[in-house]
Amino acid sequence: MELTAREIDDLMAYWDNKLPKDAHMHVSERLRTDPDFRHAADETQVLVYALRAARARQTSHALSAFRAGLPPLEEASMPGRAVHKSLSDQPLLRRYRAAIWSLAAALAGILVFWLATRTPADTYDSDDVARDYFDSGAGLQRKSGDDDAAYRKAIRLCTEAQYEKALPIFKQQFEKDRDTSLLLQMGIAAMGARHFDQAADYLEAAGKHVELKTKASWYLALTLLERPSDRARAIQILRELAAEDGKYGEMAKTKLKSIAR
Amino acid sequence: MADDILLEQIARGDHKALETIYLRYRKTLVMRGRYSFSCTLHDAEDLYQEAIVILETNLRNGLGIGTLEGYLFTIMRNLHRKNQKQAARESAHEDLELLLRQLPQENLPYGGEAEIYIQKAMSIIDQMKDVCNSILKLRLLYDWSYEEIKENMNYSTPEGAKNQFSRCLKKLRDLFFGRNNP
Repeated sequence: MELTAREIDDLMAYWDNKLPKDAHMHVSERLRTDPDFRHAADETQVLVYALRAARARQTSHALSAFRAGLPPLEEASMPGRAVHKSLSDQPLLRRYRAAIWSLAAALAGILVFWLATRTPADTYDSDDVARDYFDSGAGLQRKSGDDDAAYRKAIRLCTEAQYEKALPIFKQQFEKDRDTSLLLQMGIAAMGARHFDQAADYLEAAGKHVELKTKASWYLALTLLERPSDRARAIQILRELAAEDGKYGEMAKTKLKSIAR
Repeated sequence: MADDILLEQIARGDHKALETIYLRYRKTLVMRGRYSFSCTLHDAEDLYQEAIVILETNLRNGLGIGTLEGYLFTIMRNLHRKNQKQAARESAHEDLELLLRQLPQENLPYGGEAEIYIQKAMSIIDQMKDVCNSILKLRLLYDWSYEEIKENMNYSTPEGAKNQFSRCLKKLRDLFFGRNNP
């Protein structure tokens, strides 16, 4: 098949990715569906690329001949510009290797010190805490609303530690029926997913409702213990809880004792 | 003469302009390569020479290049590091090799060796002594427009240049793929 000049122009632009989108798609489609055009295009592409490689080869030979006629460059004694350039050309890591190693060693030392001095009681598995909550069936205690099936699905996902999947469902439900108990579920699910900032926001909001205050405060304290900058506040909340009677008061006292150790 | 004017001349196939650019940055970049890559002057100049060849290839594609010195050094560095992905895109030879690997074998009369096709292309260009030699080089290798070809080869219209190009390409394809009667 003989190609027209227009087709050759389009193909050359196509190979160089210079065609507008519509024209590119048209050529792609034609290459895909027209075997004669495809064959002619392939032959032409091989020819054009071979010509270009041949031209590069000829240029290389011509430059070699030109270079052979030039006076050789002499070894300069560390020309300032070249040294400066070579230093600035080195990758960042190589240039600042010593400083980077020193920094890494310092950070490692700080990490070892922190690990050695932090008390075990500071740590807890947020996933375990969240799963305990949802496994206990506490999450099922909500005002019945529409889409209970979706809500139950979210609870089930939380019992399987699939908090990331559950959170959007909880959010959707909350936006629909504004059930404040959902704030507590969302906060605990976010805690399970280790999104502590998000968890704190939901639990703070849940804590503003009287019926949820104690429970929300407990989980908020656990969440804030995960944020070093909020540790003091977490302890304050636990102290307030410890002053109350009941299950969460006892749990808060135990927690405060373990933190003090 | 400014770099951009020289680059435009190089893109038109002017080897003298290429030699001017070569001389202009030779000492700086060869020395820079020598210290940056910890190689001999000769090896650094080999990289520099190859970078100039690649520059000529890339000019046809009209790539934006920033400062010329920086661009050439980047090519030298990539060549030195044997960054196959980058260097492959900068080398016409590598482009052909990649293409031959991608095409169905039944469409390749000389097999998959790029060198055979390059040698064939070089010999055919020499064989074509007539106007086809000029018009094919100007259009395929130096990306001249049909208007420019018309001006330089005395065609009455760009359409005339276009039609001649199309005929010449058919002739070249037949020669290249061995379809001409001896």
